[in-house]
Amino acid sequence: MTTKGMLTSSSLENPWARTLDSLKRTWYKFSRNWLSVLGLVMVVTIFFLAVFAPYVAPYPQHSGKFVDFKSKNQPPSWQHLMGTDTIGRDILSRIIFAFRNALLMAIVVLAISVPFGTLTGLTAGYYSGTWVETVIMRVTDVFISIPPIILALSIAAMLKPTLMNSMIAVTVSWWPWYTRITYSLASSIKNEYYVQAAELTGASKIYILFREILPNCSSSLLTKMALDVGWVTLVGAALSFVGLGEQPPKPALGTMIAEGVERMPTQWWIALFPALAIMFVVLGFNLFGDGIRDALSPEEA
Amino acid sequence: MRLGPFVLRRLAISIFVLFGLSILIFLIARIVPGDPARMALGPRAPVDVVERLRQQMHLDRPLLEQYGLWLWEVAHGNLGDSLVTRRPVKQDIREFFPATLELVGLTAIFIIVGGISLGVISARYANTWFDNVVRLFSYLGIVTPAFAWAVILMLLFGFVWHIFPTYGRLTEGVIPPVTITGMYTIDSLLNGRFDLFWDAFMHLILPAIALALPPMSQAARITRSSMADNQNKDCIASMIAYGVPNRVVTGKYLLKPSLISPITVMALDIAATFGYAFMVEKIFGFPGLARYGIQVMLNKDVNAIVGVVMVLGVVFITLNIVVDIIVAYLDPRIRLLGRNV
Repeated sequence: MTTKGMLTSSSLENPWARTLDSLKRTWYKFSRNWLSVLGLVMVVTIFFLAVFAPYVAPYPQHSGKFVDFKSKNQPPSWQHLMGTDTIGRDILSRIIFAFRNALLMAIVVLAISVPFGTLTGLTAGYYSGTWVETVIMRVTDVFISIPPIILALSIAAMLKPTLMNSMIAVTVSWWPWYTRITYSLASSIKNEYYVQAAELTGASKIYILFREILPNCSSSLLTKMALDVGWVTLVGAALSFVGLGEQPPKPALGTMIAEGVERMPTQWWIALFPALAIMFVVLGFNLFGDGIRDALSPEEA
Repeated sequence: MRLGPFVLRRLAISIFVLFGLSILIFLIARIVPGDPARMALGPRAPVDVVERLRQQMHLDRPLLEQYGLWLWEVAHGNLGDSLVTRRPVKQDIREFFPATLELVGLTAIFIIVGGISLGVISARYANTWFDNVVRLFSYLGIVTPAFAWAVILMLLFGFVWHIFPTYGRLTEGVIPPVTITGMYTIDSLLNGRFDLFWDAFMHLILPAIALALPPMSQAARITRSSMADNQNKDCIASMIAYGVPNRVVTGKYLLKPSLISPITVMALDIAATFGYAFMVEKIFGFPGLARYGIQVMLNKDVNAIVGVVMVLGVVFITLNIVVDIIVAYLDPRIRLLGRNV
């Protein structure tokens, strides 16, 4: 964290001013790299489009059941910037609405797997060398014995194909990676002098875990979270590509690509633009995440 | 070299993990709401037929007994019958797996050769225009998923340049080679049919590139950064000062320790390729495990899903053991002390 730097006199008195101070310093470091700022702009754009989809999408009614055979399979034009699909729906509008579920999925998956993974990882790391560590980490080993995409695909396959179930599938295959990263951080941090000092002065286990160890894992965890929004979107799209996820007529990026692939290469826009949209999301959150990593790492100025 | 005990221990751990994986996937298959037998037969099947299938699948027994029976069957090489195709899952997998294996194999070659060589050259010429171009493209490569690459490549080669075929495993109308391994490229070579080999190989190129680009870029980036880290070490500087030829320094003393992290990452990525192969195969109309996998997934064919996952689990765990052996060979600390650094 950046609290190590200079502290102005006002910041010593007022904790709010101190937070503001460290935020300012983080922002300064973050904004040094124009790629990070570009990432931030992309992330904000995605969130903006998702939240205000009904107002910004050119044809909001095209996000659901809508059929207009007169204007089907139209190439990109000024009326339809990204063309229309096989039953005449505006692809740009559908992409904007698809961002909603993609982001919702990423948020739900991370909101469950990050606390759970962090908690198990912290515990296993702090109690490393005991049976607690053995149990938690061996269970984790089993979960990460196959790549998350395959585990998520197979779990989603056995459930009913809905958005909710695809979220469950991705969450189940995602948390162990947070356990793993927190575990490796916590098991080395617990040997630091400040943790031993806290133990000697009789601090409670809860205090040590959450106030001494966790804050020192937070920069790695935050970076991973920012990157993971993109990756969860990607895996979610992979699930909906196979047909496991949000069901038509609701838009999902993967489903749109799968539909478009059947029309390749003549009606290329149906598949290409949703694919580019996924690329945009992953790229945005990657640039943003790398920026956060640079801004929060203490060594680099 | 004391690789023997090291490999043995790794093998023991892997068997444990495989057991865990089987329990996990079996549990998920059984605790899922809904009756697998009913789902397989459809909502209109008569009750007694469903009941018979339930008994056949041992669904009426307690969970632990079910697992025991299932494990017994698996130990005898029997993964159960597919609930959709009505054939043994093993037979289905044997039919569809070689095509995917062939594709993933070529992908792995692209990832390893492309990733490492790009990374090494990039590190060798660090901060030159070449390095910058590679870094930019590796970033783009990482963030673009395999199926997006598939769409882009298909567009370029199906629409603009007709160099590579964009559909299927062989040109339409061509009779596939006599089945020996099930992999067309190898079978045709064994049959001495070089024309067939060329045809099958050309059909593999585009899907393999689409699958390889993201992990290859990742490998290039990691290789470059770990090479760059090691380049600044004192031991390397002293080696250069002693007049050891550049080729030896790079090829032997720099490359060996720098390959450890890229190799570990590449193993994970190559295994994940099986997952992304589902999509890429569908886009290129490549009849591999994907078509089968998607079909069984959408039909809730529990036995087949469990079978496919177990096969992929074995592949991945084997891959990991191979990686551990390579890493142990590269890093004497692991080999001699048996410790993960």
